[in-house]
Amino acid sequence: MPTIRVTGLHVRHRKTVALDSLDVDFGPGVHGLLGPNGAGKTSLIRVLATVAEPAGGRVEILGEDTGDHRRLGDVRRRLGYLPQDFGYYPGFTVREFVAYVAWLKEMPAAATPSAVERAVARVGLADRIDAKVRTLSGGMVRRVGIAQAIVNAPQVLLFDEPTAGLDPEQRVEFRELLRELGTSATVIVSTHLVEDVAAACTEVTLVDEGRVAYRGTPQSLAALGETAVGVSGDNPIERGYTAALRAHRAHGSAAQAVRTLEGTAR
Amino acid sequence: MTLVAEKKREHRPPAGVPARASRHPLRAEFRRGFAPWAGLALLLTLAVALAASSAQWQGGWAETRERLHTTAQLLGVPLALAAGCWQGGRERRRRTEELMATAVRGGLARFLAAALPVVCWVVAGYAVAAALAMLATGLYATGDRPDLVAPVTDAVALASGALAGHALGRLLPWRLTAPLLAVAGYVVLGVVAYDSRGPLRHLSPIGYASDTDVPVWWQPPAMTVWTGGLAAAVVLAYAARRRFTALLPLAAATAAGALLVQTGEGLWHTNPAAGRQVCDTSTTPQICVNGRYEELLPQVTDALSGLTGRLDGVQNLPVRFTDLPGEPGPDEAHLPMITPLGWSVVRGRLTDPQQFAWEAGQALYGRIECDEAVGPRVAAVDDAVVHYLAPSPAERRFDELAAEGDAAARAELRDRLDARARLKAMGDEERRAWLSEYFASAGTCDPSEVPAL
Repeated sequence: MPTIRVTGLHVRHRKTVALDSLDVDFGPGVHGLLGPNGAGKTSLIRVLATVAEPAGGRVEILGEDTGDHRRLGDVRRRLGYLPQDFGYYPGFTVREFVAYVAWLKEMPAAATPSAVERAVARVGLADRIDAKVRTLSGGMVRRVGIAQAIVNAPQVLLFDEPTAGLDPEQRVEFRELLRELGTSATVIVSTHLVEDVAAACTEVTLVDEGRVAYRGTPQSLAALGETAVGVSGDNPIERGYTAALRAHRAHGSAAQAVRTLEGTAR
Repeated sequence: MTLVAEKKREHRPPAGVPARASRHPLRAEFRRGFAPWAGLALLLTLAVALAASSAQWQGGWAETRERLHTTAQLLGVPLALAAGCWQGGRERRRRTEELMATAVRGGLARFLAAALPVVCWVVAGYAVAAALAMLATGLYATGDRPDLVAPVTDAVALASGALAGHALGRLLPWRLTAPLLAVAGYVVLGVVAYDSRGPLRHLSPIGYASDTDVPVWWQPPAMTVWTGGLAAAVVLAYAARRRFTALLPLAAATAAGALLVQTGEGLWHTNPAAGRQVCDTSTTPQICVNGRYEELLPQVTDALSGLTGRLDGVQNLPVRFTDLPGEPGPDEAHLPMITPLGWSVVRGRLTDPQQFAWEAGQALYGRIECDEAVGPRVAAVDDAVVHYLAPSPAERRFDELAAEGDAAARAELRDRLDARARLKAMGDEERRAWLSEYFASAGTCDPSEVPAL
């Protein structure tokens, strides 16, 4: 039973089609959402986060139809979201800001202080918990964003470019956190960094031109890269990413692209 | 300290160690960010504006009420509008809209969580300014009593401004919205305040500013419902899940507004304290001061003691100096003006008792409005009488100027000096008799009725 089921999702930004009849399911684990700029990754994440309303299609999260506004509260209560452009109140301390988000999510007041401390500790900011957010580095602010996303122990976590601004060491640590979160929740990570996907994700979904171009494991994507001919990339998964994109653009449908790729791989 | 290490070591607080004492998350909203600064800005604005004109209100409760009210409305409400507006645009400026959009809390709760800190701090800033103003007046109060209803009405208007501004800030979340709103608020309130003709002026929270009038008892609550109802309607229409609930406060505001407009001038009546006076009946003439300044009576009596002492036994004098709105009665003379504060009286003290006594002496012969019609002889006689009773502190200076003037001026000066000398040279009985005859002609502009000196 998938945690998230997306059927025929259609998203427009004025005259531009961001997502075009997209069908995809996500179950527990860490899902990497890959794709070039403008592919529709952020549009998909925003719809899943219930921030944006689709022009068409249906999204079910944890069995609830997000189109049913009466059920949105239940969905959001079990959702964590780190936007691509993470905003914060610089005068708040880390503790205050994460507690504020907990309040927004209607967490029980009695459980909030310990949940806040736990979330902040998980992102390695325990020693800066009472520092004002404005005093933190860009990477630390990003970690505050992660802390606020996980403070309510969500069953669905949506990260949009979570490693932007993190230094290499912090990225490695974040991948570890992702793996751990994926053991108990459905985690969707939108990124354009294939190494993040390779290191942390159990499944990868490649989105291109508003459609799913490829779905599989990072290992299968890497395998495509191993066998692909005439594609650029520093490592197999990058070459697999490029090959999958090319195939999707050449054949116009995800299924056909996958069949073609599998044929090529064989 | 690495993220992984933290994760492994600090996933949960150590056993037995409770998480830090729980404080409401919204406490941060009240302590951090823009809200405290908004309150401080309002406090400073009001404090500076009030301090700059303190001589004109300090010591008089009615003056304090009016100055505080006008300043709070004219400067405070635009500031509250702008402060609320700036806070309302915060989510756009801080890029927290996405985060807020995933909140479980309803729109109204989120709206109030962000708006109330500014509202509370603005009201707190006003409350401190009002308390300081009242304390400043309390130290020098000369009568009447403080009005504690007007500050509540002002606070509601400020809170309403901040709430409405917040809604506008969310609708138009641009950086320029707040300053433009402040300017617009100032202009609109200013225009309404100074337009004394249209019936809609009764809807202005500034209202009718007067030291001697007070509103009917139900005007403040009606004004509170009017301003508060409009703000509540805006908030509910913007943020409530059931937007039709905005109709309820809108209906209340409309009813209150209609009542205010319909009643019109009937909203105001004379301050009961201003219609009463307290008198010292031991002097001739008796000395009465307005009930609003009753504690000034000893100072006034003392200032006029020289004048009243010299009038002992003189006939045809007014019965009393009065200090009531309107013209004095036939046997009365107007006490020199105590109001507006800042001239004769500053901080509960007569600024210049000699000047005050000279003005009182002029009020006794009552020929101020005759101008040149009385001629130089009567002018010299009047001058001699006032010189005898209570000379002007500027008399010597004017004499010096006349001595340096042309021939006509020097001749007039000689006449005045001669008249003064003749009055001074009279014996007490003769002077009393002459003054009695002189005061019988008080108020006339016919020179023939004024006795020669």
